[in-house]
Amino acid sequence: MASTVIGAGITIDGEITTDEDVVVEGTIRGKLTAKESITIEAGAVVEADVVSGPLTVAGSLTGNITSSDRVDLQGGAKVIGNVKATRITIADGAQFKGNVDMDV
Amino acid sequence: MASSVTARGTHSANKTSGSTRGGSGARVGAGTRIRGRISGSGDLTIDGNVEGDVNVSGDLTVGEHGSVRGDAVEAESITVAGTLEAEGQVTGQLRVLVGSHVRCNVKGSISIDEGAEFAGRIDADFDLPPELEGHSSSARAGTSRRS
Repeated sequence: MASTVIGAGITIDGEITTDEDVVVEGTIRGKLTAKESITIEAGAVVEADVVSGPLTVAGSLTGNITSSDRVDLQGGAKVIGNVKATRITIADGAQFKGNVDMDV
Repeated sequence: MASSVTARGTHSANKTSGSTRGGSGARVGAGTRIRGRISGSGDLTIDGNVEGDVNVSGDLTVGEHGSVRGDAVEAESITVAGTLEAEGQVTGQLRVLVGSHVRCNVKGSISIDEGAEFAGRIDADFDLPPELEGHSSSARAGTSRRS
């Protein structure tokens, strides 16, 4: 179980900084910074710039992504923003609008 | 990582639960810091640091190492084992556990365990005993402190 879980009914307006895993099922507006992995579940809404380790998105994310590891956009994900990561997967059925910078 | 505090054991016993709760619970882990407003439905457990207002429809638990510093805090019930400091008003059933540090103005009901530190104003509605009725119209305790 992840150390920090933002449940489905919860909305956070502001800045989240953590050195633990984060699972987002609710809504976040602002900024999200994690040293470890971030999982944005289906149904979650994130309107924030995201800085993380491995990032998995199945929900909606509007904002720029900077990941020190890989970014997985799963089917059903909706992502608007630029992605900077070492590796990226965009699954069939994921919606994505933005630039990808893989630091080559 | 730190021990997860989801202590609601004795507390939930006297509570009529089963109210309509949308959403699942949320947990702010020990290594997490949030600056901003947290609102919504469901329960919330805070073992990290929160700077800002908290307003949830369910139960709010501030763990032993958790802290909440904000203006207004509102929840169905609030159980504090860590730190709670609010400039504004705290609304809900507040339970101050041993070892905690609480500084706030409370509207609702409150219980303070022995060994807890509490500073603030308590605005609780209750019926005065007959012998005291007529002295003051509002049942309002002044600033109290217990440690």
